[in-house]
Amino acid sequence: MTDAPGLSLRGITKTLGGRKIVDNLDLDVNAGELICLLGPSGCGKSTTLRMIGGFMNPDAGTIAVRDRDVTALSPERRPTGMVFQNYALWPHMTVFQNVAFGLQVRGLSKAEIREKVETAVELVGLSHHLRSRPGQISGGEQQRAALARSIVLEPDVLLLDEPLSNLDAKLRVRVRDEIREIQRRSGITTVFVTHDQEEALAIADRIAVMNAGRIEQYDAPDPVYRQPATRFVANFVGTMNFLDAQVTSAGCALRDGTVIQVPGVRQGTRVLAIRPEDVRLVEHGQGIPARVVRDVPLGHYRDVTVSVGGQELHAFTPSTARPAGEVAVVFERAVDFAPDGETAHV
Amino acid sequence: MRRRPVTGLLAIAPPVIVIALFVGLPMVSAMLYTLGDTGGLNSTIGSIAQHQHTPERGWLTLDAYREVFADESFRASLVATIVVTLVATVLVTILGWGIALYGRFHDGPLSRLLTGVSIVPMFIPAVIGAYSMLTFYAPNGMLRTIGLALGWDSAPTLSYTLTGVTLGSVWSNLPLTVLLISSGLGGVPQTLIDASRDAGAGPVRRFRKVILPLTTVPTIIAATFSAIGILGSFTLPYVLGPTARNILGPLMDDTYSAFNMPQQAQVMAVVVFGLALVASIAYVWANYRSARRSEVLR
Amino acid sequence: MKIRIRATALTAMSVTAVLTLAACGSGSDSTDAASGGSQEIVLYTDSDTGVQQLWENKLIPAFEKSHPGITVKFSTGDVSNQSAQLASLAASVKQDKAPPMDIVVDSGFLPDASSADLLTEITTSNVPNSADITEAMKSSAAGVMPYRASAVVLAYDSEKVTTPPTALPDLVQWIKDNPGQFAYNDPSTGGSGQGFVQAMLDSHLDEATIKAMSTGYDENAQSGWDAGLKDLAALTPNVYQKTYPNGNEETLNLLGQGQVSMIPAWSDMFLTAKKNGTLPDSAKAVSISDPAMPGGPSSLAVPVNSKHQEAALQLMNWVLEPEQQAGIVEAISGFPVIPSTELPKSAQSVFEGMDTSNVAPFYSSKSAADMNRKWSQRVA
Repeated sequence: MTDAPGLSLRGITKTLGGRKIVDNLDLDVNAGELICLLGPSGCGKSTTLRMIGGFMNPDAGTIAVRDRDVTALSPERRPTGMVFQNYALWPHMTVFQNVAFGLQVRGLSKAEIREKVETAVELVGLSHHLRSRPGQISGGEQQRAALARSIVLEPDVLLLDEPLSNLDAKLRVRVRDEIREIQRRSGITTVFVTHDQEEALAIADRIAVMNAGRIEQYDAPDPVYRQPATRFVANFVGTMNFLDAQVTSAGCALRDGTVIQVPGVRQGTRVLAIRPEDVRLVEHGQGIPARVVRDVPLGHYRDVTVSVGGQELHAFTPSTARPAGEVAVVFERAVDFAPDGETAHV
Repeated sequence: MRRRPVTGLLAIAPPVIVIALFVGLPMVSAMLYTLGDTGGLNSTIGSIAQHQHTPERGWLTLDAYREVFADESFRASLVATIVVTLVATVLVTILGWGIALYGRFHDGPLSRLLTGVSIVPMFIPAVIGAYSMLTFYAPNGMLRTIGLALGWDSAPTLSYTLTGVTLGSVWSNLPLTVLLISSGLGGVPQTLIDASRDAGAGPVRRFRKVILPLTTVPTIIAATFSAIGILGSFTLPYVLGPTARNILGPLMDDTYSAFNMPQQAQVMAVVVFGLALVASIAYVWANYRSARRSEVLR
Repeated sequence: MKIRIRATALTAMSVTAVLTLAACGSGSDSTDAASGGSQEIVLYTDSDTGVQQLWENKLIPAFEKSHPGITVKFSTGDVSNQSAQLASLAASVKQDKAPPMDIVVDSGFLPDASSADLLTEITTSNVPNSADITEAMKSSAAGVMPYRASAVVLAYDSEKVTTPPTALPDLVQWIKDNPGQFAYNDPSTGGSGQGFVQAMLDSHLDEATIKAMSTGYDENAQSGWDAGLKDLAALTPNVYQKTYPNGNEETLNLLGQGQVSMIPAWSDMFLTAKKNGTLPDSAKAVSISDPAMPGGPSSLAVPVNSKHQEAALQLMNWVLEPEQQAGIVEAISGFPVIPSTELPKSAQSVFEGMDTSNVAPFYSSKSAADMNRKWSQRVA
């Protein structure tokens, strides 16, 4: 295995109905990596996935799998495997037959097919449902069956289209961990599409945050979260507070004129971005003056809304705290953006 | 809640009574007539008919059936009916599938035109269609004329032949077949087909393993409608078919009125009814299967 | 709520039932006794549109004009209702009420009505012109009076056939010498083919047998048909496409399109088609002999209990006048029932080549049924 990227997209563009759904997109995925295409609906992530799978042809650009140009190949011939959002299991076949289908196409012997199918099904933990029909198993189990169906064909790239969106919240957490486990064990390069940033943060090796057909940031979860490249990324991934400020050499002047000191911020009209967990509530007088507006206990933490400098911020505080009235806040970390979105780090 | 069964029964009572009275009762009395019963409802026809068979002893006799089945022209027509029905049904189903598939997977102006044209026969009355086919297939008709123009000297004359009747039956049953199969095909989610492409299946395998199994019921329904329609057809074989060895429809009509042998005609009708029953077995099974499936799938 | 729905449903059903019964029950006679000077007679027919138009547009207005005291109400029915009409007439006679019509035109139930004694007998005293009716046309059924006739003739394209055969044996020879140029329809589907078949069969039978077949039913005598059926079977390889179309119109179409050059055809259908242009001007017709192909009259009758006997009989008498007979020739190409020599020359020339006074009868319906069956089994 060379260092060639498992998947490589160059200049992919797609226009549908007069709108540019995907705009000159470049993407490299390393072999064995699990990356996430994350973004709101309409950002082009599913379209990109379809193009990688061969179900849609890009208007421009190339797609390469392991350095081989596959742009012109139909889905039948592409070394990609897709798990569809609604699983698309064939209802008239058993789980075994669903998984065995692709192997039969390839002309393997009955014994080989049986062995491979049983291995794949065991990998996803569905061995006891080999003879069941899709209509007889639960949503999560169907999803695993769909996964086994794709994995058994040993694709070079595995594509998952919002695989968890049809599952309820608790199941989602469990299944996403299982998917991560399976991917690690099989080592297949994987592209995962989702609109849920928590999912992306939880299991991806790298996240490509997409907006209006472009990738705004492509990095590991931690940098994406802690050093968002654009205001969009900052807002989309996790919750974020935004404070308008006029920055001069004297400091950052907030809306109501309060001046605070934030090191490393550029001068001019800026927007300060601070994570709620980086807003620490302290005793009045020990930080920036603030007033508690709302206090919402959420189990293991509290979401406290404070008014600072004429604007409202969210602060996550431990559940044991009982903030009220006039308090003060300290910003542990902050990032600043130009009002239209590019950034500087702190 | 306790009243519901009674109200329900009352509501369906009128149509059931109408069917029992105007369909069921005549059917039963007609079958009794074929077995030699010329009393009751059959007394009027019994007094007019020629060459009737009444039981010499006891209540019923199979003599009418014996006579009909011994008649060579009936046997020849029976074979012709079965063969034409089978061939035409198979042909129209294949053709209908072709058009439906083309319309589903190559949607465009040409496919929409093709689908539209295939529905046209539905709006043409049977008599007009039959006569125009007669003219089309005549010795100096369009088929032979175009054939001659293209250098084919011996294009067949299909008027007054069973081949012509078969083609005509395909023509008249095509619209319903295309509609039923297209609608069944529309019920197959595109993702199921995409998944099979993703797994590497080519068009033939996709059709055999995914599309066809999931559209078995509409296919059978379409084929059954065609088969039963062709079995009982009259106008087309009357106008376009040969004099002897034609579909049973014209022979039944002749036997009833021109030969004045209504009892024998009823026997033929019972035979056709039996054939139709056989054709509907698949239909009943298909409906049962689809009802059962909709309980299993959520 | 449930009770209300049920009550409403039951009411609706009862109302519907009552209305249906009322509709069935109505249909009582609408003929009133005439008042004062002018009389109204009801004329009924269930024949095809050609005949209806002949009476409604031509004969009735002309009659009313020449007979100012009588109005004729024109009423039609469907051929499928024959037995109902017959039953209604019979009931009115039995109960001595006014019949549903005063004069019947062309209806298929006339023979049965005659044998049930429901019709007024026609004599030269109540219909003087009936003395003029040619012998061959006269009806044997009491009370049934023919007023026009048609026959099966041999229609041909004079451009292809310069001298048509006029005797049946010559016709058979012609068919064999000109394969594919002759067509006749399945006899069970139309009278023109049936006429030809009957002529072929009759050529091997004696007169007594033929009469028995046309007036009644003699199953034993049908063995005499074997020779004729064999002749017909021998002709099959020589007819158009070796097959037999269904219906009178079919063979007329074939002649009109030039696919064949000779067919048997009903005289009135032939003449009407020529007038309409569906047959070319070169189409001509002849009657053949030895034996002749059959034909038959269409008739009028007056129910025995009509309250307007005199007026109705006057109408029947009037129809037999040469002027009216010529009018019938012109309108629907019917043969006149009076000798054609009494007609104006223009009417006579229409039937050039056809023998309008010698109309051989068709078999009775029972004999014809057996003939059709045997033809279907042995010739087709």
